[in-house]
Amino acid sequence: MTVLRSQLVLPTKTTPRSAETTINKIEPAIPTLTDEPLSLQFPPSTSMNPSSSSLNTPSNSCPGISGTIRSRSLRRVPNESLIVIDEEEEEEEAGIDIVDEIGDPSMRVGANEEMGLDSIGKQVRVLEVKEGIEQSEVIFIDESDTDEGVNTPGFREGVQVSWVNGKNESSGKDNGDSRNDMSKDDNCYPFCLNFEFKMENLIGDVVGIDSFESTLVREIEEDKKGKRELTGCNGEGVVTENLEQGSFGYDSGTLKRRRISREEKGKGTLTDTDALLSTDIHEVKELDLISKINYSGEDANSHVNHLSDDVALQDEMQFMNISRNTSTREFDQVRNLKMGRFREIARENASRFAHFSTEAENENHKSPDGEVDREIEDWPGPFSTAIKIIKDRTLKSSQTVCSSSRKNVFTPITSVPSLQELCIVILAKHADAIVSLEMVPDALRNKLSQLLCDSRRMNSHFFDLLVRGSPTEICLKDCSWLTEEHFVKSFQGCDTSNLGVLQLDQCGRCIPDYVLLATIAQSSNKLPGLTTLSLTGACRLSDLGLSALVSSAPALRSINLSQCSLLTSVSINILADSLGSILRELYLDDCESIDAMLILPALKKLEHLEVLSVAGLQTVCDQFIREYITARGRSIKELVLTNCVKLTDSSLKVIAEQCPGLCALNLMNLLKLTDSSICYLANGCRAIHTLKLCRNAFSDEAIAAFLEINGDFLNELSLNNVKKVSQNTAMSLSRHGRRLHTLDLSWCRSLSDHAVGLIVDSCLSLRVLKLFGCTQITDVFLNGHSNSQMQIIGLKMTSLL
Amino acid sequence: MTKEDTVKLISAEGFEFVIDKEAAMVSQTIHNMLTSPGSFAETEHGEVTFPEISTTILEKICQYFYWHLQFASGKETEFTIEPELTLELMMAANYLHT
Repeated sequence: MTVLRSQLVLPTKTTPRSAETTINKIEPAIPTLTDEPLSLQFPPSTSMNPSSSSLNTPSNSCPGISGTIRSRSLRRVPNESLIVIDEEEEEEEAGIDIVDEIGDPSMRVGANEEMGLDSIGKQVRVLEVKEGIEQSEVIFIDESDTDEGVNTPGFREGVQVSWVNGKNESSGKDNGDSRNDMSKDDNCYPFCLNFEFKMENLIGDVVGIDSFESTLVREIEEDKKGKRELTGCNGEGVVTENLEQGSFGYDSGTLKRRRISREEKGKGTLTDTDALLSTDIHEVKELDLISKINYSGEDANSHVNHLSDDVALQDEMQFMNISRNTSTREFDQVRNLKMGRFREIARENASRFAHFSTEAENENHKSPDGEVDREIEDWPGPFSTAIKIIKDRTLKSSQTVCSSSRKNVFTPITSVPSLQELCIVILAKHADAIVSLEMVPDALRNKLSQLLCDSRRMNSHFFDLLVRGSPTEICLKDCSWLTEEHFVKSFQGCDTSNLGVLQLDQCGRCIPDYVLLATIAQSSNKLPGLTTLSLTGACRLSDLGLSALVSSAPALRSINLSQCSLLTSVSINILADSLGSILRELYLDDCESIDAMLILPALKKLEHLEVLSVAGLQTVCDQFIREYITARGRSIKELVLTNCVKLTDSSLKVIAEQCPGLCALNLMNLLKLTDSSICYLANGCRAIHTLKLCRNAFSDEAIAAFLEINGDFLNELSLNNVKKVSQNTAMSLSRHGRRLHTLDLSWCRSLSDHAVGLIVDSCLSLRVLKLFGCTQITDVFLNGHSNSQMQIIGLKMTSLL
Repeated sequence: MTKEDTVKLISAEGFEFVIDKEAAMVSQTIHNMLTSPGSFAETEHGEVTFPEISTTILEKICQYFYWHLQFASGKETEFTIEPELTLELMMAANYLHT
C-alpha cells in the first residue's frame, strides 16, 4: 500500500516543475514519454468510461497528474458520474485538458486489479492503478535526460501535494474534517503565499521535494486503513461539497474550480498539481502551498520544520521509490530511523536553500542565466548535453552529495625531503663560498639561482659564477639588484657562443640601450645559439635597442618583452620582419605603448607563432582577436588574455572555432564573459590542458559541464574567485580530474569541506592546491582528506617559499 | 644481512659499500638498475659501479639512504651535510634521482 502511495505521489510532483519554467520543453517531453503507457491502457479505459474517454484528449501534458486527479476523483466518488465531475472540475480548475485523466483511472483500474476490494477497495485499486501508472511515469521521468529532469522535482512535488490533500482529507475522516482542512487552507492562505517562493525553491530542490514526499508517504503508511476511510470520506466530502456548491462540475468548470480551490484545499492541492501542469503557475503555487501547509498543520507528530520535512520527504520518497515493495511495518521502522537523518540533512541544507532562493528562482524562471542556458542548450554539441546532465544530476544527487561524508581519518604523510633539496638549501645558504659552478647541470644552476633570487641573496659573485665560462643557460628571475657596471663587467668575460637561454627578468635598472649594445648586442650574431630570451621589465629598452638585439640573435624562437613600456609597434614590425618564420612564442604583457590594432599586420606575419600573450594590453578588443585568430588561429597553442577587459563572448567564439590545437588559455579578469564562452570552449577546444580563470562570472553548472567534457585532459586549473563554483563543479572535478596536478580554488567560498575533500580524494595526481581566502575550510577537510602527496597553499599562513 | 637483500655500491676509487637493498632502492636510478627486466650485470651480481662519484660522496649518499628510511618510518631527525660536500653531493643526488 505504501508503495502505491509513493508511486502516486511521484507523478504529481512533476507537474509543478513543468508548469513553472520549461513548460514548453517539459510538456512535449512528458507527453511523448508517457504516451506509451497511456496508449497501452487506452483501450480498456475507453471501454470502461466512455464518457471519460470522450474527455480524453491527447493532452498528455500531465499524465501523472491527470492520473492523480482521476484517482482522487475515483477515490472520492465511487460513481463514475462523479468521477467525471471531479475530473471535469479538476480539469477546469487546472486549466488543463485533463482528458487523459479520465482515461487513466479506468485504465489503471483495468490494468491493476490486485486489490480486488469493494467500493473502497475500488478506490484503493484505482489508487494502485494510478500508482502503477505514475510509477511508469516516474520511470519515464527518470529516463528522460532532458530538461525534464529539472521538472522532475516539480512532478514529484505535485504528487506530494495531491497526497497531502488526500491525506488531509483522510485525516478528517468526515466532511467536517475536510472542511476544516479547507478552512485551514483559508487561514493559511496568506501564509501560503509567503511560502510560494520557498515552495518553488523546494520544487527546485530535490531534497525538499523528497522530504515532502517522504512525509506524505509516512503518513500514508500510518493510515493505511485511514486511507480507505479517507477515500470514502473524501469522496463523501467532495461529493457533499460539490453538491453544496451546487455545481457538479458538469456545467461550467469555473464555478467548481473556484469552489474546489477554496473549499477543498486538500483536493485543490491535487488539482493544483494538475494545475501545475497548466500554465497557471501562480494558482498552482498557491495551491501547493496551501496543501503543503495543511499537511504540515495536520501532521502533528513529525514536521515542525517545513523544510526539514520536505527534505525528509524527498529522501524518503527516494527511499520509497527504491524499495517499492517494503511492507508497512518495515517502512515504519525505517521511516523513523530516517526521519532523524532527514531532518538533519534538512537543517543542514535549509540555510543553503534559503540562500539559493533567488538563484533557484532565476534558474526556474529562466532569467539572464536561464536565457543563456537556453541559448547554450540550443547549441548542438556536447556542452548542451553536459549542462542537462548536470542539471539532472543536481536533482538526483543532492542527497548523495549531502550524505557523502568525507570523514577519512587520515593524517597526511609528509614526504621525505630529497637529498637534492637538502643540498640546494645548504648551498643557497653558503652561496658565497661556492667557487665554481662548472660541471653543474643547468637544471641545478637554475634551481639554485631561483632560490637565491627568492631569498634576495643573489649577488654579483654568484652572477659571475653563472656567466663564467661558456654557459648554455643563464636564468635570473630577478635582476633588480644588478647595476649596469656589474652587468657589463660580468658579461665581458662571458663566452656567449653556446648560450641558448638568457633570462634577465626585472632588468630595467641594468639594461638601457647602450648597455645592451655594449654587451649582448655588441655585434651581429653575438648570440648565435640563443633560442629563448626574456627581458621583462626592461623599461629603458627602446625600439632601437630591440632591433640591435634581434639582429644579434637570429635564431630566436621565444621572446618575452613583458613590461617593456617604451616599445611600440615598430619593434614588433622589426621582430616580424627578421623572425617571421621562426618565432614561436611572443609575450607582450603590459607593454603600454603597443597598440594592438597597429601590431596586427606584424602579428599575422609570424607564421608559426604558438604562444601569444597580450595580457594587460587595453587596446585588445574583439576585433583584434577576431582578425588575428582568423588569420593565425591554426597554430596557436597558448593564449594569454589576462586583463584584456574589453573582450566579450564573441572573441571566445572565434577562438573556439579557429583554434583547435589550443592547449592553454588564460582568461583571468575578463569580467564580460558569460557561460556562453565556456560553452564555446567546451565544444570547440578539446585539447585544453591548462585553464586559468579568475573573477569570471561563470556559473557552477557551466564549469561543471566543461569539466565533464574536457576535464580528463586538464593538468592545471584555476578557478580563483569564480564565486559560483560549488557542488556541481566539485562532483565533475572528482569524476574527471585524473590528470589534474595544480588546482586553484582560492576565494571559492561556496565549496564546503566535503566538496573540497571529494575533489582532493578523487584527483589522485593533485600536487598543489591553493585555497587562499577559503575561510570556510576547516580542519574537517585538513585532517580528513587522504591525499598525502598534495601540498596545500593558502590556509593557515603556510609558507610559500 | 644475507647476500640476497644487499647491494654493493662501488665508488670511483674502488671502495665498496655494502648496504641493504631496501636502502639502495631509495635512489630511483639504482631501483631501475636492479629491477629492470633485462639481465644486466648489476642485477646478476648485485653490484653497481659509479665511476663519477667519489668515496666521501658515496658514503654520504649511503648515510642518506638509511636516514630516508628512518624518516619515512616516522623517526624524523636532521640530516647534516658538510657544506664542502654539498655541491658534489647535489650533483650526485641529481644523477641518482634521489
